Amino acid sequence: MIRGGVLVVLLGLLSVPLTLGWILQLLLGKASAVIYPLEAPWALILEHGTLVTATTAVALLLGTAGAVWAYAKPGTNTRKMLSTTGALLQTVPPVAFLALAVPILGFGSVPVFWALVAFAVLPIFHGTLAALDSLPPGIQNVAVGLGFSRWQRLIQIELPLAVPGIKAGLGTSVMINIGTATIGATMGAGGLGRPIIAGISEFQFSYLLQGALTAGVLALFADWALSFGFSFRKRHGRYRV
Amino acid sequence: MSILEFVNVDYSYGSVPAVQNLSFMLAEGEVSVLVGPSGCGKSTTLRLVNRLLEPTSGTVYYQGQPLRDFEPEALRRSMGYSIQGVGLFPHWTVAQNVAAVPRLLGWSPKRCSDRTKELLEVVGLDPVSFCSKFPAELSGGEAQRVGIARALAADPPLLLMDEPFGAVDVLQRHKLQQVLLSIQKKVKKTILLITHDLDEAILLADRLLVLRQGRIAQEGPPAELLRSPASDFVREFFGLDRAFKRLIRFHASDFVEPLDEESRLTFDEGASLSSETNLRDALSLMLAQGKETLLVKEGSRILGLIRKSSLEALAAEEPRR
Repeated sequence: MIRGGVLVVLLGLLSVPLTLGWILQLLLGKASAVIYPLEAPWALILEHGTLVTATTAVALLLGTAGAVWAYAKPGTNTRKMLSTTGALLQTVPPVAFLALAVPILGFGSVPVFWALVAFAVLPIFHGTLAALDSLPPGIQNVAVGLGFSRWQRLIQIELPLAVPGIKAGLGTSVMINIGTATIGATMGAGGLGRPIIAGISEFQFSYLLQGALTAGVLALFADWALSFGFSFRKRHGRYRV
Repeated sequence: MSILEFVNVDYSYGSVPAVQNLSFMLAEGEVSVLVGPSGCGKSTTLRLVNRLLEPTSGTVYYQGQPLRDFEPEALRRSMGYSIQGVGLFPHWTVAQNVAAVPRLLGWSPKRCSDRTKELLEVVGLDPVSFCSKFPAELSGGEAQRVGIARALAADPPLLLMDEPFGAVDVLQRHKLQQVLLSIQKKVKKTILLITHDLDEAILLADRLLVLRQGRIAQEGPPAELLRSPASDFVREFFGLDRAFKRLIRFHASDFVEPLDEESRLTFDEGASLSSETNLRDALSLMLAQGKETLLVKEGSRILGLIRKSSLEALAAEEPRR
């Protein structure tokens, strides 16, 4: 709880120009501390947060659906193919991925959106599939023997038991996403990437620090929020494994 | 019309035959126990009943109809199922586990919870304290009892049990066996049970089916198989201590003889046992104390005496043909 409170306060301080200025001055000295002028700090955070949330939500849907489908397919070949393709895609550097997406989808928020989704899907897909694969087979046999249909078994037994794995995949995905989203600025998207890119091209270290520092705090905050959210569910007895 | 009948059923795992030309019939309201050496096809047979496996040839009839006429899920919901190691769903409470099949069948929440409480009491668990516990909080014996309750929940006509007491220690096993016997006394379910524990099989079975390499070597009431084994295989299967095994199902109260006043006075208190003692233990006591007779008591009341000669007669085997 304390950790969460501290992070929220920190984010707050980074979003208001006055306090952001103080932090930058603290780190860089009065002379070099310049705030990125083209957009208000809180607007940048909001944009970034919205982008990450939206893309993660879509990735969660696609990732879990894909994992469930791969899991239900008896053929291990399909699963191996999906796994390998996914792993391969994850090795492609984000910039390259985006650069390839631009000729197809154009410049701006849309290609960045789908590129981010594509990146975010992979850890979720892997996490969910691994969790489903590691379910004790005894439990599934019992479910079949008692008379659960395939669908009922999935919804009532297998997915609830796989939630810890899904949560792990989700956490990884969000972390990666926050970082990758900053690169979106190179392709015309908004968010905390803008001051970072501007800082690089205009030799303004202060802009860079503003963007990077805020993105870092945002990532820590997201991590805390996720574990808090899940432990809340657990404590209120929805399930216990 | 028997509730379950196998007619010339074959099953092979690939090219390895597990069950060959198996034919038998279950009598309603009886406990039928499948026994046999490892790999004889016991588990396979059970899985053929609820269509976890399909016969390579032959037909299984359930309530007079061929199994393949039934929809698999509906079939399984109409059969109780309890397996070794219990398999309780870890993310559900005891109450949710027990009510698993009733919920699938669409029972109202009230009916489910009434039935759950009833069953927990039947298996000897206090509903109030156990309903909201999770499987991780239960001991092995408690978990196994919940497993039995779960199998009974939808009041199925047929119960399938695969080593239901396998995962607990000996003391718990005895208790659970008694639980099952007392349930049977009240409810008279048709049960098909697999166990590798011969003593358990002899104790629980109304009918014993000895399997060997996928075929029935002999079937019938345990006493009959023990008294006249049909083959050397069956004879040796029961082991060298089969004479003692014959005594398991009986209690001292079954063979008590009345005592006349004179004899009563000559007995010392130490040479007595309770009327519930099973006869194998009774024989053991007689051998330990070097006595030919023992006093049978119920609490502090003397019922009579029991003679070693009665036990010897019971344990005797028919001579080999």
